[in-house]
Amino acid sequence: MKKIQYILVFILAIAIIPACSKYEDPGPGMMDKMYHVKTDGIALPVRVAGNENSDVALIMTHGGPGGSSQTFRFTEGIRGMEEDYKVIYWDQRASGMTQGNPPKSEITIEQYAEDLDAIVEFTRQVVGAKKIFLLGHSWGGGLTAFYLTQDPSRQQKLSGYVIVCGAYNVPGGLSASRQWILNGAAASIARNKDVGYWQKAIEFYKTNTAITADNFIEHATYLGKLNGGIYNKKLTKLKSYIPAIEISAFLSNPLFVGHNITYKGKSVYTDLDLTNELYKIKLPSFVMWGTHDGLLPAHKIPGDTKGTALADDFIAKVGTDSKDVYYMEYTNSAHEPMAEEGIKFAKDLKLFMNKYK
Amino acid sequence: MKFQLILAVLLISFLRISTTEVSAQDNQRKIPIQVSAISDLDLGDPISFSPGMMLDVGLRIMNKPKINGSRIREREFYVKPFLGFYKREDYHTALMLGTDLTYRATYPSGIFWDANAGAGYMHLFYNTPVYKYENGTFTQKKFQGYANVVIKGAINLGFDLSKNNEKLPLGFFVGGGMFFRYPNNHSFVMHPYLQLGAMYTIRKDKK
Repeated sequence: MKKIQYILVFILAIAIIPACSKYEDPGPGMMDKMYHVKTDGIALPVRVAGNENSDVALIMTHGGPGGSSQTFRFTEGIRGMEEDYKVIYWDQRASGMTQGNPPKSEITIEQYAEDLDAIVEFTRQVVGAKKIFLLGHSWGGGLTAFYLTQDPSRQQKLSGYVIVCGAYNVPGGLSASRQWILNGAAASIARNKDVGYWQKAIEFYKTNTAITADNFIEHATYLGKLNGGIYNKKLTKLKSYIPAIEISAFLSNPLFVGHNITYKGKSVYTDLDLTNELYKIKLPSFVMWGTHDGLLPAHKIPGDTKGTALADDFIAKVGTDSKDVYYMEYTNSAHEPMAEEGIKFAKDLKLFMNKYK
Repeated sequence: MKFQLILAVLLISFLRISTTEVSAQDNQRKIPIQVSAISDLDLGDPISFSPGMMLDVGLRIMNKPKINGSRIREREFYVKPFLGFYKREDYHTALMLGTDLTYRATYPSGIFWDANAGAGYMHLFYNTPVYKYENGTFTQKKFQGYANVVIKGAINLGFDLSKNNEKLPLGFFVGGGMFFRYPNNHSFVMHPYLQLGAMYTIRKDKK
């Protein structure tokens, strides 16, 4: 009997050792729920947060490729939308906090567009949203543009489209980005600032005439040095409950997806250019860009042989009636205006959504 | 095919236990049963702790005591089948089953340390509502998850009260280790963890 008591006491002592994950109460009238949407063998994590009484939803499509929508809850620009609407944060296949082991043959923009369609349907059927807006940031801008142009009938499910520093033309955008850094390097050398560092950068770009998954990290390092990713260093980072994700998977996913994701069987870095497909987009569109975006520059960069100007080209080529196309440029931002000028970003986006909801 | 292979490995491990345990070299069977709380760590910002538990049963396969007068330092090898789980909030709950190979050195005072290495099967369940999308509609599904293999290693430090008092068959230990689950997006996923446990030791004379 004593032996049993010993065992029970020890098991009890161990079982009550707490290890907590703090969940925040979203407050009255607000919701914050986690789901998984299983489609084509993979369960995509979906978080529905915001005003529980709203029947308007904003689907947040993250960048990377391989990033996560969860991180946008730290930004005033996206979090601010939760006051009025439901925000659908979803992570793409093999990205962010998505688990599982999809075959490499499924790491394609075509499959990702199918996945996005499941998320749109989930927002409509399960969340119950009557009006749905689709937002794509960076790589997410490429994915959403592909989703809308691959099958234009999908646009009937949506009330509006928001593209933020969007990568709908990846080789063109990265060519402009490369030139943006070369111009910045030359300017730094002319100012006698970090001359050795920037000469090394120029050497790097002499041997790397195109930016691909293989040299992207080094490119991003030079970009960061010139504040081409984040310009406003005084941005506000909000607190947010995050599920108990596995950090090592979260960090390795962008490398895996970046090296494997394809468009028509070829790397998106070299082949994803949807400029000539944009005419198929007829939705009210809001184009949001940071003036100092050096990763996917809004306007033509002097010296760039491809002459890509992502924001200008989008406005010129989109098939939407021009009265329903809006452009807002954020002068204190680079690639993350929702974080760098979040309050203004949220205010502008609400105006757009309220007009078309 | 992968699952059949995992099951075969586990089965072979258990068969090994039943045959090797008989060959223990001293005249006493010693079976430590360990229950421990584990805290699965993530070294992010902030560091997160996810709770879990582990149960394992040690089956001694070798004992080479070092005798210095009346002082005996035990040096033992165990095969330890384990069963455990951990829960990561709004992410997944993992069940694992496998076998460790353990080397344990117990000093005359009762203090011991052990080193463990093992492998097993892990099943991960999404612990949020799961909606399956098929033919244009959604149905809510329960117990959705996926399979992994797990490999692990750990080091523990503890005190075995039964070393000097067989009427008090208890002990406790603390330790830490690492396990890796595979595959997730074609990679291993690393999990450091901490462990705090209690031990109940069954000692039986061999016939």
